[in-house]
Amino acid sequence: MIEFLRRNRLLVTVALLLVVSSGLVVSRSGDRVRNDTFGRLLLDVMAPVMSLSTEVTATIGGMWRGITGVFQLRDQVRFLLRELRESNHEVTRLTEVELENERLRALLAFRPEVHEDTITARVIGADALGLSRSLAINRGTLDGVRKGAAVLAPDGVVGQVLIAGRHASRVLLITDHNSGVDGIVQRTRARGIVEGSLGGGCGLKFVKRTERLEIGDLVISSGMDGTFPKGLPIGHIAEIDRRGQSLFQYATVEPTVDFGRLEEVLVARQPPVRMPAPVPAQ
Amino acid sequence: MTIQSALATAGTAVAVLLVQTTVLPSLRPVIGVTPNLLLVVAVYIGLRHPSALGACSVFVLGYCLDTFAGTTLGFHTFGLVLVFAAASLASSTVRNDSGGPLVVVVFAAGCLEAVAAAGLFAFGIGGSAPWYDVLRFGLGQAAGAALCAPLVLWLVTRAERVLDVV
Repeated sequence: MIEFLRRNRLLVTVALLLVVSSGLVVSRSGDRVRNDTFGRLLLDVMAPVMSLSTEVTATIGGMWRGITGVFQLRDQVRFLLRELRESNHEVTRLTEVELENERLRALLAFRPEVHEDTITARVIGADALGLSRSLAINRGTLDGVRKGAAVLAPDGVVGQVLIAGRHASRVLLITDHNSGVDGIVQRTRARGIVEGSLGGGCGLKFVKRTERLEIGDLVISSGMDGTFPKGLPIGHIAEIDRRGQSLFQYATVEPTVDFGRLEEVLVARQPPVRMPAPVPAQ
Repeated sequence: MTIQSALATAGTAVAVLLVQTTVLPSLRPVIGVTPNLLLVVAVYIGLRHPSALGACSVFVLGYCLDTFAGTTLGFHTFGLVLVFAAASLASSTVRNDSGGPLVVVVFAAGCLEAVAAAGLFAFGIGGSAPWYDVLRFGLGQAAGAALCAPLVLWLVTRAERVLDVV
């Protein structure tokens, strides 16, 4: 028997341990409390080590949470920056809309003063080469735009339609060297022709030498050319040239319209009522 | 079993028990299951030291596990002794110094323990949970333990080398 046990020591031990453990399971199954001495002793021994281990784990966990927190913060900062950027874009867009509204409101307020039958057009382009002074607008014949129609802005005369397409048109500005507007000096009522130059400015020609022009005088449309209504600002006299022996003097005119910042214009769909020619003085 | 080997295994078992009771529970939300690392130690002892002393060591190990896990005393002890017995039977055919075979054996042993636990639950011993839930849980633990087996093996062999040098 002893020899058997010695030779099958492992088998016997395992079997014995299985019996003991299964006996423990069966006998203690259903117990709501545990009261084994070895277990309590083991718990007491392990408690400080476990406590230390838990502390270390908590510390490492805290560090890890800190690290991941930093990454989360970074992500949040990125998210917020993106939000801020989008908000800024929105603010910019709304500012643009507000400014556009102001300009359109000004156009609306201006419209009845100049012409009943006008349409608003948006500037969609400038002259392709720059030799001429012209603009492209987003209105064409389908909108009632016709060739030669007056193009206006709240600040004054812009030009006239050079080419009218179905959906878009090109406007020849008064600063172009091929354009001409019949104008009068508001203060003296002296008449002349405002025409553009290659340099992009305007000049008042054919004003009698006897007229006393002054720098700063406002030049307005006379309404005699059958294109522009009477009384629209064209520009201010910036320089006067009385040199030479001709009958006329020349004045450089600074346009009242800033063509570089023009975004919306009014296009007259009907020509103004032609004013009767002034009766020559007797 | 040499003194160094016994000390190394015991030290590893204590370390593993600590990890199992303090570190792994905090990782449970992430990995979903707490691997039974003591199962790896029991398999290692079964493969490396298939002796009566090894069996008693595993019994103590199971008792320790019962102290820190579960409600029924002897439940894990029974499982680990069963695992030890299976590993001892396989010890003559399985290499015990390599991680690969150990992974397979640990998984198989984990499955055996899961089946045993489910069987106990099926007979109303150990608790009132459905046996199939216990089986599913046990299989998850077995898979987790198998994945961690090479790490535990490395720890034990490292400790043995250190103690050999000392």
